[in-house]
Amino acid sequence: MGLFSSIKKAFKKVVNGVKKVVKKVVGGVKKVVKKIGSSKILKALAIAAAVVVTGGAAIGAFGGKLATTQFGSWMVGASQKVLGGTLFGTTAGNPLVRVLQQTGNFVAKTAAKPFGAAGKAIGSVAGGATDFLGITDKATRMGYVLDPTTGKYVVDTSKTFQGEGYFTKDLSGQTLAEVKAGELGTIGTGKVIDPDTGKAVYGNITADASGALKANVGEQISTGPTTGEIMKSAAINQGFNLASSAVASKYFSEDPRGQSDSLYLEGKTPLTPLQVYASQSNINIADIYNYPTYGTGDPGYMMNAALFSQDTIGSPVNLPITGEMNA
Amino acid sequence: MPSPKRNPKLFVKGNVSEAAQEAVLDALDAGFTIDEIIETNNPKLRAESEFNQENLDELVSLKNQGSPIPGQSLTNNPDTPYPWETPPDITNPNEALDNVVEELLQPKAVQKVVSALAGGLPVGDISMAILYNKFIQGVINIDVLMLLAEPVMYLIMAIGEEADIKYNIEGDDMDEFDDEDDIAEREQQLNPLQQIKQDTVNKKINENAIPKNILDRVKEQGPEIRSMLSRGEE
Repeated sequence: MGLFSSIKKAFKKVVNGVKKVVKKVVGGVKKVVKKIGSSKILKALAIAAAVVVTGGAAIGAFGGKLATTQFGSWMVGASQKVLGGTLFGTTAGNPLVRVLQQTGNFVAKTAAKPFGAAGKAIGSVAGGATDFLGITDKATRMGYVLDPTTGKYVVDTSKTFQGEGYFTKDLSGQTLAEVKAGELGTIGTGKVIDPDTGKAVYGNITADASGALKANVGEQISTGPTTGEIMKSAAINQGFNLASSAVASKYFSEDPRGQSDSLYLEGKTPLTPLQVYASQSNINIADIYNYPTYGTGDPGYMMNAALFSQDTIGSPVNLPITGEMNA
Repeated sequence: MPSPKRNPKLFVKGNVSEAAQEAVLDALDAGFTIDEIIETNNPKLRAESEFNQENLDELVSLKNQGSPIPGQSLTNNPDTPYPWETPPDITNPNEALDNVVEELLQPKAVQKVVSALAGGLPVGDISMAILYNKFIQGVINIDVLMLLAEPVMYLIMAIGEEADIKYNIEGDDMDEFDDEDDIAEREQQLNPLQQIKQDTVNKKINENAIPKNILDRVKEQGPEIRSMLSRGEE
């Protein structure tokens, strides 16, 4: 048998194996969710697989409906959360940092948005049964509505902010998406029309640690503590902590610690999922880039920007990248 | 609108199937339902292959050209090897996957993939064609080809799902994943149509809508009335 025949035969086996695994996985999920058709589970699996394969942050490259679905946004949130966090530690000499240096999921930058660009053409192929652009869903979520007279999307005024003098900036007429795009200058309090329920509620808009804006609706608007109150509170807390530590050190000795054995793996921080996988698979963590791994904890899933132009993992945001990372 | 209770769990798996399963189960645990994950459940376009005599003739003529004689490759000039006989351009599976995905997610490529899926070509065969081509071009080696089979298959399946096509995975198996729930759901979707059809058939003709003289003539002649489409007298 020739080389190519052998390849084809082996590939057929792989395809057959994948199909069996797909069936098994569909069955596995079906056990968890009752009374759901297998074809729906297959679709969910295919979507999840596309997210995992293209990389969470690169999900936009897939285009179409997937990028705008709630599930897609949720999965992308994982990668963004990790990018702003300290999953891989902060030590420059950490082998994981080296892995991240090697990794650079450039799919998001280099791949086109096929469904957005080719939507019309494919739609004709697929008999018009598809909505590749998914603009209806997206428009609804973004606070736009189709004007039947003009045939154009206009701002849905029932889903916009209503400025009533409480905001630091007049947000009236803006959608949540527009406010979010406007970054930190829009933080304030006031009357908000909840885009989800359409009800008018009082609340405020705050930014979390990552800078993402969040509308806290239904909360009491308060003036907040004064500087003096904060200082007083801090001083009391500090004094209490000092006193309690002094008492603790006097009356309690250090916690006894057992002697570690040869399999001692405990470190200062818990092992990351990637480290656990590498350890279980007997792979050197520094070489893990040479192995195909998939999942939300995989470095390839999280990277989508060009190397050195992105925020480094574990480094404080907005600090210049030093030469240490090149080592 | 789904409101997940928490952020996704971090996990690493050695293959796409396990990772996809983990992602779906994690989403379910976080508060999503399957319907919320797939978000839209449009009717699917059934993949249908059409017989094409020209294509068959081309295949037959290609097959009739014969295959190389065993050992023929050994007579080739070693200074001008085929691309697949030289070291591959990419040996890292992650980089190879990026390379394939990048090309696969171009509009023209997706259009062709969708067209092929709608034409009844199985996902396995399309993946094979893509990866085999990469091997022939000397971009990847056989080991990487095999490692990429699963992710590329899943990606093509996702393209098929995005295009709302009921596709084959291997051979002619598009209905294999249909079970009682799917069939019941499909019948439920068809029920209103069948009801309209039945109502139309059962609808009795209002006698007042027909002139009395015509009605009398119909009753009088009965079965002798000839259809307008029937053959005339010879």
